Amino acid sequence: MSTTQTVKPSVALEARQAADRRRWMLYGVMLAVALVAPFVAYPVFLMKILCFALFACAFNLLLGYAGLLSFGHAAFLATGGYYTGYMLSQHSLTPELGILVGTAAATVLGVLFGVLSIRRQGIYFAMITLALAQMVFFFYLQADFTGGEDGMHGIPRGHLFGLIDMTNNLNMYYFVLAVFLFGFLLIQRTIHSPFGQVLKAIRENEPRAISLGYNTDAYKLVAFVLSAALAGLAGSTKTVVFQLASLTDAHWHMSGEVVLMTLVGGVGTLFGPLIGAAFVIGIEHQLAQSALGDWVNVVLGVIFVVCVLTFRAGIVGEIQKFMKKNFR
Amino acid sequence: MAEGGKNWFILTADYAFGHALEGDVRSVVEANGGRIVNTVRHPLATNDFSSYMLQAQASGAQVVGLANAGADTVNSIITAGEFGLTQSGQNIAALLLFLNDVHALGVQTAQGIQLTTGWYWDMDEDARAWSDRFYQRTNARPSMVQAGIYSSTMHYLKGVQATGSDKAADVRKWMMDNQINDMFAKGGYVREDGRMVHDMYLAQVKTPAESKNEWDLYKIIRTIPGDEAFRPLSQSVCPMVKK
Amino acid sequence: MTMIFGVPAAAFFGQLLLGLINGAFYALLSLGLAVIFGLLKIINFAHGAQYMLGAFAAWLMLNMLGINYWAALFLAPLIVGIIGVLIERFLLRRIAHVDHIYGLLLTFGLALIIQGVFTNWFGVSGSRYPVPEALRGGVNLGFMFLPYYRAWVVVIALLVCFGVWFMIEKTKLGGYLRAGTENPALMQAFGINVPLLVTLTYGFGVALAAFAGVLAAPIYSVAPGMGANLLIVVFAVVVIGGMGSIMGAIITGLAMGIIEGLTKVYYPEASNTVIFLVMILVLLLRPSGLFGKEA
Repeated sequence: MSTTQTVKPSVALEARQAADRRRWMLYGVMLAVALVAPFVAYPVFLMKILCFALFACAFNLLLGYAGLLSFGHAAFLATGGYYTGYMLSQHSLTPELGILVGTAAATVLGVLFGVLSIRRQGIYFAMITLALAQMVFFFYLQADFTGGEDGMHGIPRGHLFGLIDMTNNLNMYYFVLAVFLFGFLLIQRTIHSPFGQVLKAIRENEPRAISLGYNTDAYKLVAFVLSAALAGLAGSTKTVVFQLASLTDAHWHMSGEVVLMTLVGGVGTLFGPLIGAAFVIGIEHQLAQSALGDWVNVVLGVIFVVCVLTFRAGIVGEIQKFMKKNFR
Repeated sequence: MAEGGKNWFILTADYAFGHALEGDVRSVVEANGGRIVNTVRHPLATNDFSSYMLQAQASGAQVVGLANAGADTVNSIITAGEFGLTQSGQNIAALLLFLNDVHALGVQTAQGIQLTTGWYWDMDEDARAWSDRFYQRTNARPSMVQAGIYSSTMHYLKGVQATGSDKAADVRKWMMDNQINDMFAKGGYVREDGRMVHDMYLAQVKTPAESKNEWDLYKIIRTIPGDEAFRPLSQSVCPMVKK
Repeated sequence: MTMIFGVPAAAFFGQLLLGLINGAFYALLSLGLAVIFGLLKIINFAHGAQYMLGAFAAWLMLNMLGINYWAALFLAPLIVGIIGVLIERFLLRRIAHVDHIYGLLLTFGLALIIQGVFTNWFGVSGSRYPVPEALRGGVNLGFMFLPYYRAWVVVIALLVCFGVWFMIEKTKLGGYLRAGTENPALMQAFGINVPLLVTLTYGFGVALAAFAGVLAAPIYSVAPGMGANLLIVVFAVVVIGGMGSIMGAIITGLAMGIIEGLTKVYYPEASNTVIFLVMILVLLLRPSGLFGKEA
C-alpha cells in the first residue's frame, strides 16, 4: 500500500501539513452542509442516510481495515433496533438509554460472533457470519418480544434526557447527526491509532504480523466487536427515528446491502461508506417511486456486478486514484 | 370445524400467527368434544414437510389441521398428497387457505380438503355477478381477501359519502351504525372492537369429477353464523371495548 | 412397539430415511460448491439461484415445450451449465487476478439479479411441478409409506455424488483437476489448457446445482426464493465439512440431512437452526472443519 518516500523530511512534513489543512477544510465544509441540510431536504430521508452511513462505516472498519468480509452484519443492526424498540415501548426508557441498551446488546452478540468466526479466514469467515446471522434471524422470527413477522410498530421517540422532544424532526435530526459524528470520529481515531496500524498489517500479511509478536486473533476480535457495536448503534438510532423495528433489518439481504454500500463508496476509505450509503439509499428511494419499483433487487444486483468488474475501488477510491495521478 | 372427526393432529407454523390459530382451533375442537392428539410446531417457511406428515400419519388422528398459511400450507398439502394421507383415511383441514392457493394446487392434489372461508365467488347471485366483472378484468376468480377488501373499501366510501366527512371518528360511527349488505356479506356489522362480523362457511374442495371448470373448486358444506364464527366480544382483548 | 428415545422405532427409521433424502440435496449442492472452490478458489454465491434456475428450466420446458421430466433431468443442467460457462468466461475470468472475495461479491450480485428477475416474472408464490407418471404412488415399507419419487431422489443423488467422486479421484481428467487445484501455473507449463479447465469446472459445478433443482421440482414448489435460504444452510454444511475433500462434502451433506430430520421429531422448533448449532460446535472443537485441511 505505502510507497517508499524519497523526498526530504522537511518537504514531506510541509506536504503533509498542507494535506492536513485541506482535509480539515473539507471536514468543515461537510459539517456545514450537514448542519444546513435539513432545511433543504426532507429530514427523515437524511436521517435514514446517516443511520445507514454509520452502519456502512462500522462494516467498513472490518472489511476495509482488517480485511474481514462479514456477511452477517444485519444481525447487529437488527439486535440494536429490537432491544432499543423493546426498551422504549415496554419500559418507557428515554431514547439515549434505549440506544445504550440496544448498542450493548449488539456488542454482546458481536463478542459471540467474533469468538466463533475469527477461527476461520477469508471465504469461510463470510460463510460463518452469514450462517450465524441466519440463526439470529430465525430467533427474532420466533421470539415473542419482537412481534415476529409483524415487527414492532409505533415505538415512541420520547424525550432526549427527558427534556428534548424528539417528535420534532429537527431535534431528531441533530441528535442523529451527533450520533453519526461520534461513530465516525471514533472510527477515524481507531484507524489512525497504533491499533489501526496493526490491523492494516494483519490485513496485508497476517503470518508476518504473527511473527512480529502480535496476537492477531485478539486484534481481529476487538475490531469485530467494535464494528458490531457501531452497527448496533446505527440500528438503535434507526429504530428511534422510524419508530419501528422489523425483520427486514435481520435478513441476509440487509447484510448484502451494507456490503454494496461500502463497495460502491470505496472499501477502506473513510468517506466511502457515507457516499455509498447515500448513493444506495438514494437509488432505492428513486426506484420505489418509479415504475421500476419491483426491480430494486435486480438493479442492486447489477450495481454489484458492475462495481466488482469495473470500479472495485468505489466512488471515493476512484476519485482518490484520479487525484493522485493528476494532482501531485 | 367440528365436522369430520374427533381426534385432531395440528401442524402449526411456529410464530405468533400460527400460535393464535392453533389456540382458536384447540378451543373449538375441545368445545365440541374433540381431542387434540398431538401438535407439532414447524419453523416458518420450512421447505420439507415430509417429516411432519409422517408424524401426522403415525399419530392416528382423524383430522390433520394445518395452522399455517401461504406457501407453508400449500407445501403441507402437496406433501400430504405425496404421502397419501387422505387415501389412508385422514381428513385434512386447512385453517387458512385461499382460493388462489387451491387453484394453484389443483383439484387433483387438493380434493377433499376442508377449509373455512368468509366468501366464495359461486355462493350466491350477487357474488357471482361481482366475480364475473372481476373475471373479465383479471382473468381470475377473486378470493375472499379480494372480495373482503372491495366490500370494506366500498363500505368506507359509502360512509364518507353519507356523512360528508373523512374524519375517522365520524366515518367509523357510520360504519358501525349501518349493516353491510353487498356481494360479500348479508347482514354483516362492525363491532365495537372493529371486528366485522359476518357468516363464515365450511367448504370442501371438489373432486376432479365434481369440478366443472378450473375455478369450480369448492362446495359449501355448512354456514357458520357470524356470532359463532368469531371470538365473542366478551373475550375480546381490544382496548376499545368498554367492559 | 420398540421405542428409541421415546419415539416408536418405526417412526424413527422413517425419519432417518427422510433425513437421508434431504441430506442428498445438501450433498449435491455442497459437492458443487466444493468442486468450484477447488479450482477457482471462490465461493459461488449464485449456487442457490442456479439451483432455482434448474427447477424453473424443467418447469418451463414442461409447460412451454412439453418436454417431460426425464429429458429435463438431462437438458436443464446442460442449459444452466452453459449459462455457468458464459458467466465464468465473461465475468469471473475478468476478476480472477484480484482478491477472491470479489468473486463472492460478483456471484452475490448475480444471485440478486437472477432471483429478482424470476420474482418479477413468476411472483413469489411458486408453481407446481407434477411428479413424473412412472414414479407416482409409493410403497408401504411397514415402518413408513415411501413415495417412489423420494426413493428415486435418494438413489440417483447418491449415484451422481459418488460418480463425481470417482471421476475426480480415480480418472485422468480428475487428476488434471486435482493438479490444477494444487498448482495451476505448473499445469499450464505442461501444456494443459488451464483456463478452459476452469471454465468447464465452473460450468460443471453449476450444472450439479441445476440437477439438484430438477430433482427438487416435484417435491418442493418451484419458486424464485427456493434456493436462497437453502444455500445458507449449505454454507453451514460446507463450513462443518470443510471444502478440502469431495468425499467430505458428500458425507457431511448426508449426515446433516439426517441430523435435521431427527430434530424434526425430537424438537421441531429447532429444526431450521440445528445445522447452525452443529456448525458452532464444530468451530469450537475443530475449527478447520471435520475434513478440512486449512486452519
